[in-house]
Amino acid sequence: MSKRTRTFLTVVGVFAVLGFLHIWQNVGFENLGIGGKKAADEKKFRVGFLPVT
Amino acid sequence: MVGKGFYEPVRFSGFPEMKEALVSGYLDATFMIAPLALALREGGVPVKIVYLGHRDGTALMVHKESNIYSIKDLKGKKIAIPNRYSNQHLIVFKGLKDNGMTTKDVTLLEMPPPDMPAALSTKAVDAIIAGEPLMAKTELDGYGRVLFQAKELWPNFISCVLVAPQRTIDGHPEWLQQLVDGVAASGKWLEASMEHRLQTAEAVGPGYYNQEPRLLRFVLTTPPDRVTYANLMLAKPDFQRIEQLAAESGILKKPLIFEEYTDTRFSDKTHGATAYNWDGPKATSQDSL
Repeated sequence: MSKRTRTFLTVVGVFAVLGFLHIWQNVGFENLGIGGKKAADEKKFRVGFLPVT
Repeated sequence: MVGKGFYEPVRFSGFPEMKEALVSGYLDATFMIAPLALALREGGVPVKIVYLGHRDGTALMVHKESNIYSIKDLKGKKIAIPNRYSNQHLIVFKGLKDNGMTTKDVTLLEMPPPDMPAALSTKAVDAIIAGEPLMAKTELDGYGRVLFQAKELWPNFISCVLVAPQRTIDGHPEWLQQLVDGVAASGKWLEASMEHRLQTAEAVGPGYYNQEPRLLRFVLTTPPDRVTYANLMLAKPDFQRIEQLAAESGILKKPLIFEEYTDTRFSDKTHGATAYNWDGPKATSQDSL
């Protein structure tokens, strides 16, 4: 394997890891349906409030 | 915080963040101060008021060591209000106007309600006004004194209203109706007896308000009509009063039409609502008032 190929594969690997982390941080695996229920299956009705009357 | 059932309460510490969450689509409905809902409508945000959260439950507090004993004594003082678009702002406007003054005679500071007790305690401001239980906290902790309760200046005072975006009203009216029915039944249950008020303090104090049950017991019982929940249906005259004061104070730029910024169908269906059949948690005798 040439030095150029190793460099290319290293860069691709780094990008793959960064992409993986980006998806994990911004979307989460649950929303992708990986490793758990989809969030859409657990629809909740969100009601905002302030802890004052 | 995360609720156990389908309806998930989402706690905020300030109204600007809540507004963003509503506009962005994160919230399906929210309790918010009435003039802020009107301002959103004025700005073209597709939301409507569908019910009230409570009546009364607001007081203007001063430091007990201060020499402020009447509204006229507020001249030149710093008053913390929750938001420019709040009925607390409007009631200060009304109180000053009734006493021959304007908001130019005082300094109004917008402040998240949870920060107000500390600001009064350290005398960073001269007066604070927001919804309970934060005002009562200053009284119970020994440094706050009530200058006036909202109901003394504005009978049947409205602070928070239930607001829903049009997408919820159109997409899931049955879920919204169930929520409104729940608020109505809860209000009837609360007003049914003093014991229910005490039980409520135990139930919602730690989880929802992050406050000691002792404080909520004080708010809900001293006096018993400090906050009221009996009549939460939408009534046009109530909102005309808010519209008028909001226009006079300059926080609304153009007239609004009640029928356009409310959807009374949900409120109308609560007519004749009865109280929940709920035993509630048992009130403890320790840590008494």
